[in-house]
Amino acid sequence: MSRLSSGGLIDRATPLAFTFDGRSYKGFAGDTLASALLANDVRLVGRSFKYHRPRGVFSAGSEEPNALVELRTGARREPNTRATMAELYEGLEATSQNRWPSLAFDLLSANQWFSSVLGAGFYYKTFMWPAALWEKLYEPAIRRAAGLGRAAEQADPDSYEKAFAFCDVLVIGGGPSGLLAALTAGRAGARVILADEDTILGGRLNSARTAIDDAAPGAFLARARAELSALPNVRVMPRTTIFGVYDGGTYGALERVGDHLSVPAPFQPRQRYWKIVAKRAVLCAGAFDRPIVFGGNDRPGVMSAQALRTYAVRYAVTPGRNAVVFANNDHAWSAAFDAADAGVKVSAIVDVRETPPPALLAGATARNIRVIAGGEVIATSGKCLSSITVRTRGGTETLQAEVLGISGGATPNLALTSYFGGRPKYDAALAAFVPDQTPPGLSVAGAAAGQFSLAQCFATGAAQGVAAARDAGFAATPAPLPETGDTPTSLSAFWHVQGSKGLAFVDFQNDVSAKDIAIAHKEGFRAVELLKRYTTLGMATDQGKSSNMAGLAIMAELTGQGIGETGTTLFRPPFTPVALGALAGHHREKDFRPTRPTPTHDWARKQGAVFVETGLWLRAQYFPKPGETDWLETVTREVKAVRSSVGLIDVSTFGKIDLQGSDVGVFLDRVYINTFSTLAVGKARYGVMLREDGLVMDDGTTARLADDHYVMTTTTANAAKVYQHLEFCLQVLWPDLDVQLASISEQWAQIAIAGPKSREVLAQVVDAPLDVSNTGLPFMGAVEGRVMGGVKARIFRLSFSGELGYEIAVPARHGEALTRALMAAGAPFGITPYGTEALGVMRIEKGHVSGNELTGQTSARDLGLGKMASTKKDYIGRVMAGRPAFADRDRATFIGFKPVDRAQRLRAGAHFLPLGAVPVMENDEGYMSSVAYSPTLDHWIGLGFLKGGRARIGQKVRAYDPVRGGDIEVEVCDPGFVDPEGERLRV
Amino acid sequence: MSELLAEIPASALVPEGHYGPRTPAPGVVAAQLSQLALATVAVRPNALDLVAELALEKLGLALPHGPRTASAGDLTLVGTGPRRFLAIGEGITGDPLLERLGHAFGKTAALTDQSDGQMVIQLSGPRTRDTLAKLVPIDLDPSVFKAGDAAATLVALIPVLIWQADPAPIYRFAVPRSFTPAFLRALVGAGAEFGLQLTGTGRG
Repeated sequence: MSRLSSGGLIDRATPLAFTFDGRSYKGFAGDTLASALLANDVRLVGRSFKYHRPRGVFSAGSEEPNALVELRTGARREPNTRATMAELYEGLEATSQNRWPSLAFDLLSANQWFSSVLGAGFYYKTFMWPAALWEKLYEPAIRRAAGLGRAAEQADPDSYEKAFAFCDVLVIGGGPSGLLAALTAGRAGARVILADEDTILGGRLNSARTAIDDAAPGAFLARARAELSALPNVRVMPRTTIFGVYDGGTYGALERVGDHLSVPAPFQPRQRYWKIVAKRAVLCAGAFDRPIVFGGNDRPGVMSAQALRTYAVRYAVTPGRNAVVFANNDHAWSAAFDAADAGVKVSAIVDVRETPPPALLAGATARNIRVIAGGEVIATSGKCLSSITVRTRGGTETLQAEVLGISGGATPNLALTSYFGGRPKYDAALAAFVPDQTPPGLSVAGAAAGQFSLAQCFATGAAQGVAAARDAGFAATPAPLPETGDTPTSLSAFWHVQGSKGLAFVDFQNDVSAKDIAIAHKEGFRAVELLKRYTTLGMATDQGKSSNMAGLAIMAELTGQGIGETGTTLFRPPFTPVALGALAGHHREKDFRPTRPTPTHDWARKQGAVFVETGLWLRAQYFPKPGETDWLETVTREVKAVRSSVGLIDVSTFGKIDLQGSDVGVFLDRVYINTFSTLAVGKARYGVMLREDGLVMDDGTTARLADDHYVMTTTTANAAKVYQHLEFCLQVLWPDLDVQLASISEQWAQIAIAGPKSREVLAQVVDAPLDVSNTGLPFMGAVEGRVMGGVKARIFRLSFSGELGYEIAVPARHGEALTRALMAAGAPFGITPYGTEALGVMRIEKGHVSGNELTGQTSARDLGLGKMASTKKDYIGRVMAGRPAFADRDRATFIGFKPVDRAQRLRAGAHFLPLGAVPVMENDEGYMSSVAYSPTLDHWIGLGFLKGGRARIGQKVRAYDPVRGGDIEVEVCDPGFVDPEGERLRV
Repeated sequence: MSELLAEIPASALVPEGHYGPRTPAPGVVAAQLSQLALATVAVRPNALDLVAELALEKLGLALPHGPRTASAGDLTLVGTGPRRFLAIGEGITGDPLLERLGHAFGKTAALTDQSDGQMVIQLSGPRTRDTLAKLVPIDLDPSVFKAGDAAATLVALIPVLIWQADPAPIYRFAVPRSFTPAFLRALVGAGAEFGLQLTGTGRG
């Protein structure tokens, strides 16, 4: 065990059992998987992406490039989980990934012997011949060899949520600057949200021993946390990562509600995706300790100097028996001192600087730490680190070390500042990029702004908290800052040990070495964005949080430009990976989108209906009877029943719009191509409306119930669009018109009955004195009255099927009762419920256009409806519909088709070609839009658009459907297959 | 999707009952209200002032300006858009409500019965705002959205009207009839964490 005997923020009273690669270990509450593994002397945690090199834990936070594991098992298995972010829980099961047969012995680690040919872009150069093998052999093999973990193969059993929060000031990060920002804004009365990706607030203060107000940081933290939780206007959100910044002060956040539990608590989601809208935000996300590039810097046991401090101080773990620190900066010395003070044996500090600050030298002496100034680590050895070779002023020397804490300096965590395109600027004194332009409303404090010392963090956090609260309208005042000695922060820029031994890694996660940067340079991929794509530097789950800087610096060295001129790639959201489940939230499976049942849904279900999704609606598609073997048999029966007797269908899904006012007639004349102002009260008319561009938007019938009262129906698909269009016309185009709209789609259930017996059925449900005789309610008549003994109703004599038909509208709650009443009244006639399939067959038999024809690409003339267009008035779309192309004789227009060999089946989507023509685009003459087997004619029929249209009735063309293997001759015919004169409608 | 909903058909109302942990009192009480009549009131152009006078005189009700509500006795008007209101009458049906409004406003406004078109769902209980935070993309903090405030918004892709009926707080939603099953699914999924009592939707 490498657990220190005392200290740390772990709860030693709560031991937790867990397994890694099947072996059992113990940790404590408060551990991460990484700290618990290190405490159990597990230093080899994973294998690298390309070379399968052994890797250990590098960091102690969300920037972790190496220690990726599969967490949990079965349906909850989650690949690429950063062990540094996974909180330990009882029974945690983790497995190493990307290794075979085992983590300790991975056959593909042989890859590293070929690293000289596996450099950047190797697969573009090496696997070129024979080309045929690329897809079949090379690519699959490379994909198998390179990789991360395995996703679960079953559906995720957990639930996820979305939520919304609003605040005056959002503070991102709960370290020293974030705490001061939140406290300052909170005290001023602002609504504050403090989001921190860690489990506990405090950031670096949880890992440091720096005195604050003459006491250990814990005392300050306890006061700050207590004050924040006592402020009712402050909401602290731990385990919450702000991953993106969006328009209008909107921030995306992921709260890991149940990730620290084996399964989420009952009724709790696993994760919650927050949209936080903030008037102001302060980014206090701290900084990353970046590695130095030298040979063997990826060996398990090499970690960031700050991670060494964190494991020692926060988790009471000594990550190896003998620690050495290799750095170019003061901050790493503080880390070494804190680790030593916590009980880690730190034997040496190797600093590239010739003369480190005297105060630090004194600190090292006091702790009996050897200092090698002007030294560089040039090699490491051991599968897990056992020794390092240091180049000193006098030569080289080998030191025993199981841990090497490395630090090339601090890189401000400024990703969020560049999400609106802001380019970080290079600060040579800090050897780091610092924020420049930030997204509107976002300011930066503390280490994220390059203000690295603790005192600077407190000061800038408080100042930005005051500024943010004031911007949000609160009279914030600066409060006294906590007293702390100013931690030393000087550094000497240093990136890459020249002449070191072995592969020197820049990006651990993608196995990008210094050599790969040189290849990219040599081959001309020098711009940072090209460098990234060519070498994969800064890609994958960690997005180069720790690695980018050294990569850029090495490229700058090679090009001879400064780092500032070389620039940095821009960061993009998300800051850390976000599960798709969290983005979907409630909307999965049945709840992917709302399901809208019709008023007769339950009744139809009891009749055994098969349902079909039409948009959000669930409609009865057909009603199979026992003994029927396929849908066509059922649909044929339904059609025959309607044509011979009577059938019933729920058409409530049509859009229905109530129009009232003295100008409705004028208004309808402007939105429809035909005239409605002349429509008599008590009559309905079929209308077509165009878009401004002259193409058909929708069709439907509109009835006039009174001088100043009309009701419009729209297609199911366009209900919302037409309503929106009418609203636009009234609010924007003609606000002076006296027209009042209301959607009544949901208010009225509408049941259609059709067939020669439909009048006899209807007559039985209407209340006196309503007259539904042919004279009382002629074709296209519309009346209001009562049905079923007092239920108000609107009855329209309309037909889509081509038979005598009625649509009866009643308030939606009565829809099912009306259906039952009609079914009872129609029983003597064998009334037959039918679904959308039979409806479709009958409208094709009648040659009516529907959704397949109203594609948004067809004009009224294309649809054969050109004669409806009034020439005596203006209407929306008239001018654009007059464009010459729409009148072109060769334009494909609406027409009917039947197979020359009547036994043949037609297929919608087939394209028309002249007989004998080769099937190329130049010969294309149109396409089949709708087909059906006609029970009335006993063969397949089709509708479609053919070049020349009606002029070609009687001709034969080829219907070519290579996708489904159809290629037959069809005869062009009138689209009215059944009762073309419409005699049945008027009986 | 919450496990609670797995066995309930997406086309059916979520049956009444208790969802989530059994606490001494439910965190959220949701009720689908019956005995309500609804109607849209669309004021004719240039008649808003006159309608405001008529509302005060005949209904004793100050016409709300903007997305607000105004109540007098059993009648509430919710501002839903320029010159548009949703009228809600408690304890009556559609026809009498239309008659009453017609009597008050005469030809100055178009009236349309919506008693069957919109379902009204009421939320109350100590965890109501926590539940609504998962559903409503607007700021319901009492400093921003107060009793008497209303908004047309989207909940789980569903167009709804929300208004705060009481500072307690009590919120009400008007939900298009066919979207009610989906709305209840989202509501139960969001509120179950706090213990949700649902009434008024039948036994399923």
